[in-house]
Amino acid sequence: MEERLSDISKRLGLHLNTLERWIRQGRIPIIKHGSFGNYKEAELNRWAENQRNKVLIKKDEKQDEPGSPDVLLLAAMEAGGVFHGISGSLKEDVLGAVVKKVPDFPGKNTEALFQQLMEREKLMSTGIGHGIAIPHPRNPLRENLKTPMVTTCFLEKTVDFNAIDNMPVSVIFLLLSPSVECHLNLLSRLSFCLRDKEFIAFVQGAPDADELLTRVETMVSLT
Amino acid sequence: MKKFIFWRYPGRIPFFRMDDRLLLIFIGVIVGICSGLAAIVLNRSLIFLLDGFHHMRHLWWAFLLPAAGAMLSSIFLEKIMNEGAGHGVPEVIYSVSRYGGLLRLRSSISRLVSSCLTIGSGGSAGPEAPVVMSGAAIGSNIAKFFFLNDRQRVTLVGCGAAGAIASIFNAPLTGMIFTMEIILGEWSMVNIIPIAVASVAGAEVSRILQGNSIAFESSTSFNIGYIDLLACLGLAVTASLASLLLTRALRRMHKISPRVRVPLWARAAIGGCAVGLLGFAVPEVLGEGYHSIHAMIQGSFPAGLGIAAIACLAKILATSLTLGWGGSGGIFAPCLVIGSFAGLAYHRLLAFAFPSVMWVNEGCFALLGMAGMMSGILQAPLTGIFLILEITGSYEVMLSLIIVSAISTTITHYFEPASFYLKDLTERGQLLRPGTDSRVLADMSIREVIEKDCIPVHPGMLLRDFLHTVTISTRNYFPVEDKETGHFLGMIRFDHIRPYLFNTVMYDTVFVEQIMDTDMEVVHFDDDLFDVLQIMDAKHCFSLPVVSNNRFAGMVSKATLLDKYRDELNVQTSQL
Amino acid sequence: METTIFHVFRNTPLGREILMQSLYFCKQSGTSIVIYIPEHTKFLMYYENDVVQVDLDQSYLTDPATAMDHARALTDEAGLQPRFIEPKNFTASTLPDLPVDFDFMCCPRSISDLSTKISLGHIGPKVRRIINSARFPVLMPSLLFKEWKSIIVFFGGSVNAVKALKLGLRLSRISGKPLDMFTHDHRNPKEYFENILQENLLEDAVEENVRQWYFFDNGKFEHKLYNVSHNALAVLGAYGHGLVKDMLFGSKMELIQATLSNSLLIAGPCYVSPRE
Repeated sequence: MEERLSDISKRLGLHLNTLERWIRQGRIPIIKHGSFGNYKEAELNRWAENQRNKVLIKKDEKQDEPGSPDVLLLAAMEAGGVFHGISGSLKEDVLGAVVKKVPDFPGKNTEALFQQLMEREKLMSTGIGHGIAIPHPRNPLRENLKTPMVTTCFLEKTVDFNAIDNMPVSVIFLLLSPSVECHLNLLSRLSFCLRDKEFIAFVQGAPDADELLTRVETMVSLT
Repeated sequence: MKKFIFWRYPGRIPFFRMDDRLLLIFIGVIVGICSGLAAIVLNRSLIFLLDGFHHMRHLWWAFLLPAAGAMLSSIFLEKIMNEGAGHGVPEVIYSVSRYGGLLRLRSSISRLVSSCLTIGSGGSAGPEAPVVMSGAAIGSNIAKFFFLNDRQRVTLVGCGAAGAIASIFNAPLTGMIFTMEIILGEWSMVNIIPIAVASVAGAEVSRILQGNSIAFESSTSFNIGYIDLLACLGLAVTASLASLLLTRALRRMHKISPRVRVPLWARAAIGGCAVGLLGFAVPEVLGEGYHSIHAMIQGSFPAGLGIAAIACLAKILATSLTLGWGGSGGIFAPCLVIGSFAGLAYHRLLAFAFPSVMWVNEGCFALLGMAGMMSGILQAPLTGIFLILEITGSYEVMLSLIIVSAISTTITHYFEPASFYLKDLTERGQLLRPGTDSRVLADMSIREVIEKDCIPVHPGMLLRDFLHTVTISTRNYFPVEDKETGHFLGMIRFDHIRPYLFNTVMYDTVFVEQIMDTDMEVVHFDDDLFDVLQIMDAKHCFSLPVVSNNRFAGMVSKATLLDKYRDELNVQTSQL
Repeated sequence: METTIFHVFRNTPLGREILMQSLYFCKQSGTSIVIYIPEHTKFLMYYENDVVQVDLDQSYLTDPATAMDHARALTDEAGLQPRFIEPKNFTASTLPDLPVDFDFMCCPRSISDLSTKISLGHIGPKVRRIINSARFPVLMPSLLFKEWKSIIVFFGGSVNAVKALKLGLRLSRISGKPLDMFTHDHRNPKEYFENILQENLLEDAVEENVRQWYFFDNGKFEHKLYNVSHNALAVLGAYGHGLVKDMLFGSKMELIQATLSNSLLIAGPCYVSPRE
């Protein structure tokens, strides 16, 4: 099999100079023809196994690019859904109702999720002020969740949430994410939007799903 | 056309691509035969020259012979061949460790001719190092001709050296062990087999052309008693003393001779004259000295304690005069001669001091002395043991041989840590044995470990803008470059500015220029990684910028280096 | 991409001309210069499958005390910052090893013979060895310093000629000098060469950048060389594989170097096109 040396070096995760030197020193079963390398797949794989795993040959590596953060937020909000008229007068009631609204995902356990949310609330309230709360479980849902979700819920009446500005909460964004990185990403994007006073006012007006998503899309595209 | 040149690329034949052992064995045989022939050519021409000059030895101007020989050999090396002086073994080791055994074609002939001139005319030196050099060069050039890779070339260089030694002493085992212990410095299966085969080929060539004779066979067998074993301890001390003396004398001569401001050839001639004059008093010192070894092993060397001791010292002096002043040749044969003189002298001293004890005959001690001397000078006990066993064929002395070799190596090592062949290399820090730290670092270059994902910033940037750069960068280091010329001005280290990061007042008042490090150590592409690591250790930093032609080229960091280092070590030490 | 040229400085008027050529080349191609001021008459260069011992002509060591100043004066005049290399490794005490990881090397036609031998048609054996085993092209300057106004690539259709063409294209792009091509072939029509260009995806680049393609299918090659402009830098590939060709570079190349007094840039058989 013949391939460009630079391509082989990429597949092996080596610097081109290192690869060329190894070929020259006869440490790797590749034969050089100008800037091309000739090798047998099986032979090279066996060699790679004999070395440490790191240099295992990677065939047609396609990194699953975790889309840009802006797309992420929008997609997550779409996945999570927007719900109106959540009833309840206590924090627990509201959260319990919100958890039930969360769309199904494989292995969803409403009770466990609720417990996790409450655990997080015990640490410190997720009410970030201006009548908005961003509850989320204490740890990311590593096993079951594949794509992140943001479930938006508008409450029927405001609820005391022990928020930092002690204002009762009327809007809840429930954040569910598969990894810490993803969680931070969503959180930073969301809080960026919520810094905008106009947006806060807009959200407190309990807009319907399409309106909200369009608004978020324009917000995100501004940055 | 393609078919025609195909045979020059045997490494590309599919059968050999998977496993090149057969190919190496096959070419190894060729190399062994060629280097064996080279060794025999040298041996024969030495015998011819020494015999030719023998009847002139008593003439008054005979002392000029070594002078003329050394002069011609120096002129030959310097002017005709354009080679550096020296016996060549360090050069082989150096090239094996650094350049995959690349040797020049001219090396395969140059040392042969020059050492032949030096020794044939009576200079005190050995023909072994020259044949090793030329055998190695033959192997290297055959590998070059077939476009083999470095690993295969190194094996063939080893084959050449082994074949040469095997042929000149008719000692295949020694050839193999010498190569492994001294030239290659590693014992690996891949190497041993072709080298063993080449060594056999070399020895066989010598047997066909010169007959299967053991070089210094003794007529009687030695019965070694307990008392002799005890005496071996003293012999080991004597041998290591002699080897120390020889090493020091050689070094002294190397220092003195350059102070004489004459051309190189004249310098060699002066040394040769001195050897010639010494030869009048003690004729045994002339030439490679195998005749006297023969006589000593047989026990037919002229009697007298004094004569043996004087001969020993005179040989040391003659050898250092020859080699130290520009003659060409190796140290192997003189070592053997000095060792056997030392053994002889020691035996006679014992016999004189304890006349009532029944000592084993003096040939045995001469033999043990040789082993002690070899092991001491070369710091290679195995080579010493096997060489003596094979060239004398006296397997009954095995035990005492091992004792003497081991003790002599240890004692000499205490005073002279590096062996004669490796001394130059260790002093220059160029002894790079396979699988060692310095070898791994020497093989890698900065280009291979450099990381280029640093984002450059400009000196006029505000801290606020700089912080924006920080958020999109994955690194802790930021090179500062001049906006117009692109010249490297300094570095910003993230951990240095951490304290001010959250001070918003400073965001618009501080420029990048004010927070950058300008006296940062920088390295260049050509720098050795070994030096780079030393700078890092001295400065307690984990990354250094690489600057080439005033431009920032990237960073070298210890973390990446370790990663690549492990890869390299794995690749170097694993068998393909 | 940062490139470097390696220059062995000869401290004589001839060496000055040659250094000026190198410096001019540097300025045109944005290359930085690495200068070696020899202290010994010989040095080694370890290439991939060969080691070349270069025995310098004695004139390289002329008046070593002034060599550095002379070289500096010239580079300062050209406004370039040279890097002087001192050999770090020695094979033997008087035999330094020089690195070989440069992008170009400047070599006069002869490096080990007396400079009186430097003339058309003669390339010293060491220089041949260097060209043969080096991964970099060798700049072989004309005897007197002359600025070149254009670049001409000799294109004979071989693999090496394609590499030389790429080199020429790159140089012309960097330096902004016009590029010409020169082909002389009895047997094959122009379409044949255009096909080769197409195969190597060079068609468009040639179309855009080449000012003129001198194409001859009759007459003698050496006679046609008169068409080459006197102030052009000639870029050509030398091919040499097999036993005989290790010594010679192919007939065309020999004719060119024997006929043309221009500066030559020769890409040897081991030359590897740099990664862009």
